[in-house]
Amino acid sequence: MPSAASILEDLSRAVFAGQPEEVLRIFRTGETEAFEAPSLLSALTSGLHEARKKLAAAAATVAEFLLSVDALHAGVGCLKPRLSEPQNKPRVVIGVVQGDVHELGAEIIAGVMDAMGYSVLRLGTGKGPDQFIEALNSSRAKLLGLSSMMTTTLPAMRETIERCRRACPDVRIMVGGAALDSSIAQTMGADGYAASVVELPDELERLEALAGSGEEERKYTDYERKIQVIEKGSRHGA
Amino acid sequence: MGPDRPDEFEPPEILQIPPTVVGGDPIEEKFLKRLGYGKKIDTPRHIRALSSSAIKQVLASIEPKAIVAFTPISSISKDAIHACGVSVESPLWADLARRSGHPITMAVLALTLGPLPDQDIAYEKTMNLTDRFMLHEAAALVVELLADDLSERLENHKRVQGLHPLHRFSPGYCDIPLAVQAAFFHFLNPPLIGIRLCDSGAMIPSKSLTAAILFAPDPPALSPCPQCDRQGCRHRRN
Repeated sequence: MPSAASILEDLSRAVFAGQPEEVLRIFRTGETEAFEAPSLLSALTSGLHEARKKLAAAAATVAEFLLSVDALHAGVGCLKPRLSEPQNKPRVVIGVVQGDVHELGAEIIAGVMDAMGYSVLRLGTGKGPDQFIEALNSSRAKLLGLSSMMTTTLPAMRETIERCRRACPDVRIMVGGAALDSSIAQTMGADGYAASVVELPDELERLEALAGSGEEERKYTDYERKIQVIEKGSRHGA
Repeated sequence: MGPDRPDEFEPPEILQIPPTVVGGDPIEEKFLKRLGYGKKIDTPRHIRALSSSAIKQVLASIEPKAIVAFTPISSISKDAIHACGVSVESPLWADLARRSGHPITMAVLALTLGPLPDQDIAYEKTMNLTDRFMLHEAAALVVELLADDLSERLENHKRVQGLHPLHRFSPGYCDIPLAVQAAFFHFLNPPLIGIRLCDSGAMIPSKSLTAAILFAPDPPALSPCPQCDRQGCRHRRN
């Protein structure tokens, strides 16, 4: 009989090694029943954390990292019946801004956030600001993720950010994609920016910490009024 | 290939894929290199298997088609190359063209793998991120290899007529704006082979490309020295 520690280590190792079948096998043995769901989840996510560190150090490829994400996904799927509300993580709406057809980058981010315990609503491509607002309202999501891989779609991203911010002021907006960098993201009024999936967890953590601290500061360009705006404080207190 | 008159478009041509171009070991090695293997990271066996499977699936699903037209160049200004029926605004490319054997003809081409690769990559088809990523990358490689193959055919065709090819350029690369895509579509009519153009310049199916190649009677100089005024330079190569 494997020890308790070794089962958790095996799970973590299987995620790190990108072995979804191995994760499923461990769950099928029934040995995981002795553990509380949060311990198992923690073992799974620590495997992904190590895989992310390896990717960040350029010692692994994106393909290997995605295998780890799939392995984590497999484990979370087994755990789902035992988890109550998805780990207190906010609901998130993710989509590609109108005009862009490159969906996979947003999908990878959605897959990783899924695996991290976020409840993700995927809007796919070809959705305008109205559809994003509708999705945010109907899902009561607190986070919006927007992707753009083409510079020609940045005006659509800016409009989506502006409209969503006005319609849903409590929602935090995070952006990413090849057409952006942190400076463009900030200018357009996004709360957060991740250059790749490697930076994603840290950026999400930063946003969550800021939201709780009441020390948010956001600088952006109001294109209609042609002014630079600096907002300070929490959303409600600003 | 038809004569160099813009009113004589090549009819859409369905390409047969020569196995030597997009099959067998060479494509697998190119694919692994594209994924980041070879230099610093050795290829794990399971990644090799996944790569092989992705390439096979893509090659089984593609229905490659291309449309090509040749048009005489009327002038090359400081900022653009003007041909009959189509102009390309690109100061860098125009500068290169002026320095490269006085090009007289431009080939404009569009190529697509067809709609099936996009359908295979779609979230609705599989939630497995690794599979989707691999298929996406394999399809992107195949479309590039097919474009290389088509370019080579066009270049060989023109070499017989005593014309030398310059490098292939595509909208969105170098300083050629994506807006040029609309001019290419107006000139070529790629909807004839199933490619639709979005307002943003993106194409559907996503595994499609457009490009242009210039042809000149004189071979392009391999060194910049003939264009340089410093006759006495000790590094000069004539």
